[in-house]
Amino acid sequence: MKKISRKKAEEQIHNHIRLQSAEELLKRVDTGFGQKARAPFQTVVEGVQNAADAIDKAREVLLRSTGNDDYNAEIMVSVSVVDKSRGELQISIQDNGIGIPKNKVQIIVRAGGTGTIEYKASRSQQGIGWKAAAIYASQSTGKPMEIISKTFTEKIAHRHVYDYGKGKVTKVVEEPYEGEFPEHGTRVSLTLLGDYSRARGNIIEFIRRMAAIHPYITFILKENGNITKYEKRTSEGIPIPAPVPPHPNSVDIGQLKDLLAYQSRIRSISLAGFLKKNFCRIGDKKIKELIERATILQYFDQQNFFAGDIVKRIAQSEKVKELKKSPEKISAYLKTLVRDVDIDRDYAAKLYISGKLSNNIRSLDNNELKKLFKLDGQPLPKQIFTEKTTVNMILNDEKKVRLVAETLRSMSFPSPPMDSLMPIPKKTLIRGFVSIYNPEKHVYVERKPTSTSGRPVQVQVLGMYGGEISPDLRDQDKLIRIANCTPLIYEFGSDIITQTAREIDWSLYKLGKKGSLPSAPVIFVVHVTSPQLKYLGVAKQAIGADDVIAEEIKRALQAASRKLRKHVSMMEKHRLSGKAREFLEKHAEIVSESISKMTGEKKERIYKPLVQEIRRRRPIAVQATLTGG
Amino acid sequence: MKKIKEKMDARELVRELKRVAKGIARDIRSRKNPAFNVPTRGADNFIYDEKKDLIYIGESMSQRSFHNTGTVTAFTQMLYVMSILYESAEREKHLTKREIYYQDPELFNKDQKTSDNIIEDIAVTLGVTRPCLRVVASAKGVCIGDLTLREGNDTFNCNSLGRGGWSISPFIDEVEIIDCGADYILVVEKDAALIRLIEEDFHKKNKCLLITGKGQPDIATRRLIRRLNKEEKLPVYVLTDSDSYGMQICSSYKRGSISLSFESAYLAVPSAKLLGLLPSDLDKFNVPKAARLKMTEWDLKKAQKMLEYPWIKNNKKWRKELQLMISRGEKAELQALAKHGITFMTDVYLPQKLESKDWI
Repeated sequence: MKKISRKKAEEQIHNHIRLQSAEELLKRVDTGFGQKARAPFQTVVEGVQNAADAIDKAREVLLRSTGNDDYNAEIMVSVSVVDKSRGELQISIQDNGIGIPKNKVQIIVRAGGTGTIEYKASRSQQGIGWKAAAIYASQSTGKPMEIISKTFTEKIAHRHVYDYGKGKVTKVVEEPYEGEFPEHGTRVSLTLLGDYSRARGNIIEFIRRMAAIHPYITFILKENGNITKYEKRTSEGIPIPAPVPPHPNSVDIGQLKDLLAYQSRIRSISLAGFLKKNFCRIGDKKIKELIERATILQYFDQQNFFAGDIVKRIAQSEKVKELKKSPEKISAYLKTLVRDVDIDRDYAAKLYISGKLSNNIRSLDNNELKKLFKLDGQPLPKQIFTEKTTVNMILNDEKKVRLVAETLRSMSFPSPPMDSLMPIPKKTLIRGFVSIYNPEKHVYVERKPTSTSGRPVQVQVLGMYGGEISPDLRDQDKLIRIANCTPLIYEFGSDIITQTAREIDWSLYKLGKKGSLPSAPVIFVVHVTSPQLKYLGVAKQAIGADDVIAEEIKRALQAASRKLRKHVSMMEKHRLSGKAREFLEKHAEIVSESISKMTGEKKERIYKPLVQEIRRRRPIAVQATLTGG
Repeated sequence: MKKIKEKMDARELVRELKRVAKGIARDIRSRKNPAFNVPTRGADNFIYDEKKDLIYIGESMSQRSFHNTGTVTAFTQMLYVMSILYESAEREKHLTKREIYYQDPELFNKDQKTSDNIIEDIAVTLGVTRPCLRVVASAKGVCIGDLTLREGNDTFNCNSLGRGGWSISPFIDEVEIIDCGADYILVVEKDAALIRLIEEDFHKKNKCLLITGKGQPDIATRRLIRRLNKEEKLPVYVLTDSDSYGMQICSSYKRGSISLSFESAYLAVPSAKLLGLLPSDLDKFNVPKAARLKMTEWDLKKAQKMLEYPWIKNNKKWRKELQLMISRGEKAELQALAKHGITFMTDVYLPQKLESKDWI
């Protein structure tokens, strides 16, 4: 890799920091600060996520400038009770990560989120979590937020105080910070109301799991001066995901508008240039296709019908499915099924049979679309943009923005590149959790990256069985959910991981039964990594429903269970052979005594080799004897 | 066919057991799976020798190895019993089956049948008869008639022991036959018929020996009959109830039983005849309907099954009688003859049958 200066590396990374939208929004949505017991937890989660991201960014700076990304990374969470009677806590999270440049702090503190435009997996993706914490803190105690930060290249640290009251963010203080502070990094502090004694269990669990996933970072929890420390155990970090421009299929209008606006501020270029620069998988050929596609969509819009719905109607029709592969019958039936629009029924039947019809029109190219909906010879509407239309012209016309977004989503593009993911290294995942739970057997399954609506996604599963794992675990403890390297604690039931796990027939793997989580002494760690992963809420404690992700989770869990089943069967056998041993050894006693009576030799001369042979023939795993199995 | 050793003294037995035990010990030390190959003493494993009309044990073997949890118990029981037999043989003593059982009832699942079977298994595995193992069953047979025997230092005549007759000794092979004044042996299935015959002095009047095994005969009784048949050339006639069980008992005197088939050559009397009560006798001697019994379902099933046995299937007379019984569905006890008068059996039936050689 070409070495650049640390300053430059830092700048490259910070370049993407920019302003997004409003603070007020956060007060209206569920950000996870609803309950007193949860607020301190949510605060820690948001802060620690940002801290871990900052450390990975520092690693990136080091990697780009020195070629080595290892350093003594450390995250310290301090909780102190300020006013016990009122339940007022001060929570501060300090990292020795990349730090925030003094002039970027005022952007970061705005509620819109740090919003890196980069498209890669990261822990804190929208960058609104911490601000939600700050707003909650401000609402509950009226006290402001403090940020102390220093970058690699800044000479001194600066202390910033921001007030989130009065519906906006106000800078209260900005001054050089003279106190003790790491070489580089950030410390954020909030004072909030919360029930720490109730939040504590989850906070500790979260940090413990964070430490398991991030053995290259030292985690310290300071509770009123009491220190719990999870030491750094390895120099190998999580591979730094490569930023990849968004995939066209994944873009929505808001995102597109942001990108256009950002481009517009730099320089208004052509649509073609903009698309090629800001999205992956778009080339000249695709641009041409896109312009034509836009007119087709415009036509559909004019005619007031939804081509996607019609395609979906045919694709999902049970009746059509029954007609199997008979084009005549399908064509005839389509007369009743699609009465609202005049389509080429024979052609539709042909497309259906060749498997080209799916839930949207993405799978059809322009010619197929035109033929299906009998567009040839029809007067097509006038194009409202071409590839040469400038970014500014599009940005100024809401209709154009919408059409571009729609067109991008309605076309097929090659799958996105997979290097924007952040899978946990196999060794890290195994060591991290096996050292906590001490199972007698663990299995690891890694699915190949795949993509869903233009976003790459990858699932990893670690299955742990027996040993110190109790069979009476609560459901929440049987399934450890991790999303982009961040453990999820709350909203267990609604998470797609939980829901998928509940659908698995565990009896096939001797781990339990169908319709619930396993009943065997087993823990599954499930990691889902994907840029712009869709969560169920702003609190990001549950991954939202997604067919592709669900399928990946299911397959990974099944594969892990299959591996575990072998072990479970073996353990059963060992358990039996343990019993058999006891049984045989009892008989060996009588046998050797009887023989000794008849031959006159010493009993031991027979008993010893006999028992040795019993043990050789009936092996018992050491763990099995330890756990009394 | 495996040659069965009929005679073996205590010293030989000790030597044999020691040889087997050493073999097992050797297998254990060379990390092999020690095992006994035991000829199966089951309903499926017998060979019927048509020429000799004898049932022998078949070729089928079952392996009882130590390292198999399914057979380790039987293996251990065999070795354990062998060690008991060894100790008693060393002191030239005999053991009863019951004594062996009480050495360790726990090991035999608190069921004497288990240890009894193990004893038979050891005998068949070593290829000897059970008496060779110096195991005696509490003999239940009785013999009465002009027969002089010596057992140990006692010499006696079976006619001079009162009306109870001589209780056949379990150590039958150590009994010496001194003299015999009888012309034939009448084997009676049950005690009741024997008492009638003794009361009528049938044995004295007819110069015969009366022997009963009281139901299914024990080995000592069968051994005595065989020895008398062989050594004194006495013909043997069997008198049983007219039912499938009676025919079965006669068959075991004659040909051996399936469960003890390995000792057939040593116990059976192939020349023995079933004298009565034959199914055909019921009409021949006008046994009144009232004295006949309806065969139970079990009787019929048993009879049907017996028809399948090669020694009955291929024996015309036996087959005909059995078929007659089945077709009529009737059975009768010997006592049914008493309907014609209490002495009908001794005065009319038996003389007439013997005279006309009406046996099968």
